[in-house]
Amino acid sequence: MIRRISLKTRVLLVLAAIGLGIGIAAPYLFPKYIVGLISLALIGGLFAQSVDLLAGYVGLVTLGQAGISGAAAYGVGYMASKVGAGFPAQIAVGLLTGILASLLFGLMAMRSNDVYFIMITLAQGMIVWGLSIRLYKVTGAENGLTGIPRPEPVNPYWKYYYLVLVVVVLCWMLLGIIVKSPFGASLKGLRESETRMRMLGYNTTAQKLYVFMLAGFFATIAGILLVYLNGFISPSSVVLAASALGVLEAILGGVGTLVGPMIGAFIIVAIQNIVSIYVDRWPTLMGLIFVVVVLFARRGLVGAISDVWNRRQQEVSLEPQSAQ
Amino acid sequence: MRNAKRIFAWLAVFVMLLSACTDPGASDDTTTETTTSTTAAPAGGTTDSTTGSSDTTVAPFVCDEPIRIGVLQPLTGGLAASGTDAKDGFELYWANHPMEIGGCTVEFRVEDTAGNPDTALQKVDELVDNYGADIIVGELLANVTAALAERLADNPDVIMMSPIGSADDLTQRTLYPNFTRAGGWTSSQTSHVLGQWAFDQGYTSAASICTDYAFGWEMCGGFTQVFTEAGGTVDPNEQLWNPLGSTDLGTYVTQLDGFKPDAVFVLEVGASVSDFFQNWSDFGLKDEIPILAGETTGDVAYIRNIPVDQVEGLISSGHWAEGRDAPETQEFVQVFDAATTRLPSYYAAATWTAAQYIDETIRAMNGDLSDKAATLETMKGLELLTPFGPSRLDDYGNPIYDIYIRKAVVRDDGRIWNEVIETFENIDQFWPKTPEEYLKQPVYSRDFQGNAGS
Repeated sequence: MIRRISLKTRVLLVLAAIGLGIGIAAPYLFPKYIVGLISLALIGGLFAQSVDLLAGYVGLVTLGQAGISGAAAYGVGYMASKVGAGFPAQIAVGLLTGILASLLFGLMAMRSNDVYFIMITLAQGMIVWGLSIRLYKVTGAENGLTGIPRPEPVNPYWKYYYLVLVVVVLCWMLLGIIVKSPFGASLKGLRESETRMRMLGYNTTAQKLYVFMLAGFFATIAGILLVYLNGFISPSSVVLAASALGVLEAILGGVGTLVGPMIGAFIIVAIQNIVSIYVDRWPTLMGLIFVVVVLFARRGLVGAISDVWNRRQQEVSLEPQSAQ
Repeated sequence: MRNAKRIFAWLAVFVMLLSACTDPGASDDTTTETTTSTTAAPAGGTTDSTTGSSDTTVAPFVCDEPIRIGVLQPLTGGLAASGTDAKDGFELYWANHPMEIGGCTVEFRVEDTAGNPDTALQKVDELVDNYGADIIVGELLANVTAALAERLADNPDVIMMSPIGSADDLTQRTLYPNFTRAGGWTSSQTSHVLGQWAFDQGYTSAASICTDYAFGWEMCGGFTQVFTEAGGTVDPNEQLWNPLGSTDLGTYVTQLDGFKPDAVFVLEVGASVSDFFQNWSDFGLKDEIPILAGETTGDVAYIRNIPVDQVEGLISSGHWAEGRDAPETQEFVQVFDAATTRLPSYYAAATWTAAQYIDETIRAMNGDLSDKAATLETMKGLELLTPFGPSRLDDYGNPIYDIYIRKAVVRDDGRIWNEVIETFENIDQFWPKTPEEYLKQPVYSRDFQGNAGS
């Protein structure tokens, strides 16, 4: 019975339990500032996971994901600060704009691959950025939209943190189910060989649209969570750098895993906000970390750790044989 | 399997233990705990001294806790040069003034925002909650400043000062109770004056080229409204808007030439500034059509990096003129120049002045900043002689300054700077209108330039 669960699974379960335990206890352990950072990292992690769903599982790197999360955030922000609508309407409009944006962008991008997909999504992200700058009556242009309060029941920072934690963990589980499902397997097939998948009878174009919209949905959730966390949305949240950050977080942590992007997000949030207090040249440090990861851990931190682990395990299992 | 069960059991126990701690009562404790800890850090010590000093009003300047100031500026990224000027101005003020004010110690910490509102919002939480800042000074960008003001709006224990971020509405249509622009300015405040001055020079028509974003709209709108209301004309079709970050303005320059205006109002930022002047002189327009530059475009931070022949004699308006011949300005210029070998930009003068406002406020409050509303009132009552010249705050928290028409002149040492050729005294953000009249109109945008002729 015990054999059925490998050592690796057990370690992972313990790590997950520790992670979740710290996650639940965080508001009691850390000051408000750190709890805010963890909220930000969790939201950034969900965003990076949505990027990774495309990049890691289908092999489509997107540079426009912040356009989708930004569209959702602007939807919420517009309803809150310009219309003054209630929270259900704010969230409904946010979901609607986010999902509509991912549908539109998905329709535009679904026939392309590789570098063409990157270019199209990059342009899509820039469209949202351009609109955010130009439609000042809706978006407040450079000044952004302020006056986006959190719903009363989750207004204190620590309650909002728990909301973020619950939503992110739920999305994570949902993502886990999706990538483990037959649909998820077909996505990997798409990554390995689209022609072969088409030969097998899959409508690969439709599949790409579905997965693009799924990724867009999770980005939408992240966008809505972020706009309520900050109470503010401005074009800085939809610039190319914001989309690229999602990709970088996924690469840093490890593409093709769900835990990787989350770890990547925590590392980047920590460098941006904590390390930068002590180190003036923190962007250089960040760049160095990326270079080192790309050079020595092509599959990201999670990939590197699991490689080391597997090698150790192999050595362990080989040793008795060589002794014989 | 049993192991897995055991793990889950442990997990369940752990969660239950935690949820036992998370009882409603316990969670109420956390809120009070956190609120007290947030207030305790900045105000706890000083509250004691309040009660102490209210009993014995003759024994002022008793501080149990240092007065803490958090400064947020972009020190990395595209705005690093301006942000560093701002940081240097603030640090140099305190390097040249005692940080012990009648027994109260002043401390400050400068944090990097990278010009990113997300980072700035996290850093401000850190400065307020962990560091215990009484005053936050920031930021350079309008959107980051707005985000910070919004975040601190319902925190009665902090004062937010914005010496640089100049979005009009922060002291006009969107007011925050604990926000002041001491040391700062509103975008259109200085270009209003330039509109009047241009008309006084006898220019009857003007074209404009401004960067297509909120700051450009406000600067251009300020010029256009006052110029047209004074009697000049600006054809809306002759108002050009180039995207933020454009670096080939040649096509715009030829269009402006074709309009044949009496003068051109220019507001560019970043790399577009040098590109504009390059094109303008390449097309041979420098001595053909006079340029009237908005404050930042004519700022020494930009023109010192442009070939002298392209910008010598440039007319601009501003609340800052490093070549202003007055001791309060020149003292600061010399201090800054000696320390950094640069002539100070308005970014440096702004944070220096913000520090001066803080210094004088601490003195006026006898070191007790625990009542932030009273502190802000005191600050609004100050009349200071700053590097900008005489400065006091209006009812909306925005400074009333002398605004200068400036001319770029080469100094004896070969460096270029802005000297004053005309002064408009006591200009508030609404000039020449009254606040009531002014606030009836919307904030300047591409569609609303306040153009009296259209």
